[in-house]
Amino acid sequence: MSSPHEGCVPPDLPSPSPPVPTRWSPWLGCGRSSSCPAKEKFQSFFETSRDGIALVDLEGRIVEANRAFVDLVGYTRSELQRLTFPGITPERWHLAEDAVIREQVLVRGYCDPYEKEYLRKDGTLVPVSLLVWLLKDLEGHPLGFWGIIRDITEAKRLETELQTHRERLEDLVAERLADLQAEILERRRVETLLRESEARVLRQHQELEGIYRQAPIGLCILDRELRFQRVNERLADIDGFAAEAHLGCRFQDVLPDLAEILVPVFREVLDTGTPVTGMEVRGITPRQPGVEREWRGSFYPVAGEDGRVSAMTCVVEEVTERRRIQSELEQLREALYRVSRVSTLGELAASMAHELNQPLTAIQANARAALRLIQDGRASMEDLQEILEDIASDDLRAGEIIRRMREPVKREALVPGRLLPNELVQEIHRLLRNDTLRTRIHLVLDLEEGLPTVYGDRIHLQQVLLNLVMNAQEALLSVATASRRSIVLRTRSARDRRVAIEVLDNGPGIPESLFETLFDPFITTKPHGLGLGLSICRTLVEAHGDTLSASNEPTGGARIAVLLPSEADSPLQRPA
Amino acid sequence: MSPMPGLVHLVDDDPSIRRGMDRLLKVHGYEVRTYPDAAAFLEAPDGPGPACLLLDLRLPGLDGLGLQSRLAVRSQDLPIVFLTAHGDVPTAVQAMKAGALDFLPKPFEEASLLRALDAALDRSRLLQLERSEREHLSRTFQTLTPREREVLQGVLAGRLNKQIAFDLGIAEKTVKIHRGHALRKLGNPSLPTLARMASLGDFRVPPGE
Repeated sequence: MSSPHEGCVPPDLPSPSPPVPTRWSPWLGCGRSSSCPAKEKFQSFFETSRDGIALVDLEGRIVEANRAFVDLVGYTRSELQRLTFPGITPERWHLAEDAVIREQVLVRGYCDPYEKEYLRKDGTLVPVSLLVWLLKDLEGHPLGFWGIIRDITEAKRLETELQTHRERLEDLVAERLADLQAEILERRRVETLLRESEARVLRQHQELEGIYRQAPIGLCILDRELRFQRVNERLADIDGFAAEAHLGCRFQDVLPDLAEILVPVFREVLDTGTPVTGMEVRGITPRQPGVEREWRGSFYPVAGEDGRVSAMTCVVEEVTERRRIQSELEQLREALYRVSRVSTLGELAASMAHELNQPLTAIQANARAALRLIQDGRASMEDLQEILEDIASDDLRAGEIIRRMREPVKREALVPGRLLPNELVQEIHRLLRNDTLRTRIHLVLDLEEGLPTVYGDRIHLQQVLLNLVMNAQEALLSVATASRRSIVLRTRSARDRRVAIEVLDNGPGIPESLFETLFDPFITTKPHGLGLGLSICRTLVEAHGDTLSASNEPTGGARIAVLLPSEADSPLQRPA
Repeated sequence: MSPMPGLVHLVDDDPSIRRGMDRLLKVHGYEVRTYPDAAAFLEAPDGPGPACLLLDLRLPGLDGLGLQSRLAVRSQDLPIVFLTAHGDVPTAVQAMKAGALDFLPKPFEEASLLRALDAALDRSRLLQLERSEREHLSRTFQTLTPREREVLQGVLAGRLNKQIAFDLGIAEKTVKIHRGHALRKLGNPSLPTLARMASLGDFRVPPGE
């Protein structure tokens, strides 16, 4: 920092006044002319020091300053000697600096380094670090101060820069820390989830295990060699061995009686990977030796890790009991059906008898007429022929009535055939006409033309319609009414190519409370009814793939409808 | 035996029965008309001679009992023999109470049928006789004066001439004259005959009322 042309003696240093008081001499080496080596050394150090050095009297006047200081503040030496330390110090440092002088320098002779700024000649501020000593005379009285002043602009800049970097770093660190914390939280969350799901999986596994073990359906897994790998309790029960006893044993060794039927099926499932489901199996297991039982089995391939079929799972349901109940139920239904048929016939017998009496009466009249003509000798061959033809025709009619009466009793199985809905209804009308005449009920036909043919058992459907009309009749007779009692037998086309045959009456209607159970067995409103009529009707109708429905007419009265699929849609229809 | 001729109306909805019965009854000498239902019968005109109705109890539309009551309202004196294919006792009782002459179950015996029909036709003849007598009487009664009717009424009530004279506020002698005129107009009947005549036709009704 020192300028080379100034040499070791500052040229302008001695020139400005005021003159250095004599007290300063020992420090300043008084008398520049003297050239003791110590003094020269000091002088050299003083001038070449990189740090500014200044000597200040007690009033703060700058007595001496070195080149570095001069460079630092930008004033010339002579200018400086007219200035004071406080004069080139911004006001804001004055108090603090006074305190340092007062509390440190004057007390113990020096101070700890401290920082402040100087106001340069060009008006800019320069940050400095200061060390101050107290200068005393030989008697120990304070003379002034030495100050060593270091320009810390660069340090400050570096410090600021460092600070910036530090802050930046801190930000980065904080940021990263936050990221880390978030990551940690996320990890913890995931870990918790994982733990939970593991627990859940475990629980589910245990549940499944429990279900597997205790399912009311037989379950087992067989490997490719048909060895039992897993067996649940139900299957063990079906087989008649403990579940553990199965494990590792081959199917054919455990259940030799079923092997012949099932082993080929198992092989097929294992070889082709195609499941076999709903297979009906009959046979014997050691559980009940000598008793043939029935199961429904489904066999599914199980793929191993390599994707190939490695095992097979079997689902086996015992159906022996269900089959037994089903067949009993069928027998029972059949029996009930017979009972109902017979009772319907009983109800019909009266009108049948009436109907039979009609042709008998005609036959009687004709035969008597013929006899009379013969007795009187007036009989012509033409007359007799005509009479005999009438008799024969009425006889046929009587036979037809008897056949019709007997037919429902004889018939058991469904004998479906093509039927015209209107003909079916007209037949019912004929059968019931006398009955409705007796009961004074108006039986009306309301037939739609051009209905499709249906496919079904004539006798069964007749049975259903007879039953429905008789129900309607009983409903009508059960109440007093001012209006004329009437039953309408109606045919009409319905949705999906179906035909509806409806029985409508103008009676009291079906009680609201009865709708839900109307078609259930043993539900009846009749004092002596079995409650089987509608239930059997429904069974019969459903056997045809038909439906039976009941409703009340808005005008009062009940409406029972039989919906029959057209011939083409009938489930009874078998392609010839 | 040759039955007395008569007209049998047969109402039965069964065509075979109509045919057979028509044949049988004609063989037996009856005149026969058949109808499939009550309405057809009601539309047919009355015949002049004795007639009866052979009526099936169950008919479409108006049934046997309904037709019977319809005829009673019309005060038509047509004896009815019911036919039924079904032994329905309550209905039979109802029919008989309403004046049916007989009730035959189908199929019937020929003899029973003929007996019932003859009884019905006899009844018809009797009714016709009564009706013509009644018509004759009412014509005769119409020739009586109001005073003669009053006097006859007293006579039939068993009152003496004197009492009748007192009742009517006229002289006994005048009563005798009215009585003589009235009886002469009626053909001088004995008292019992007069009583029977009075039961057949109501002479109290003045002409024109």
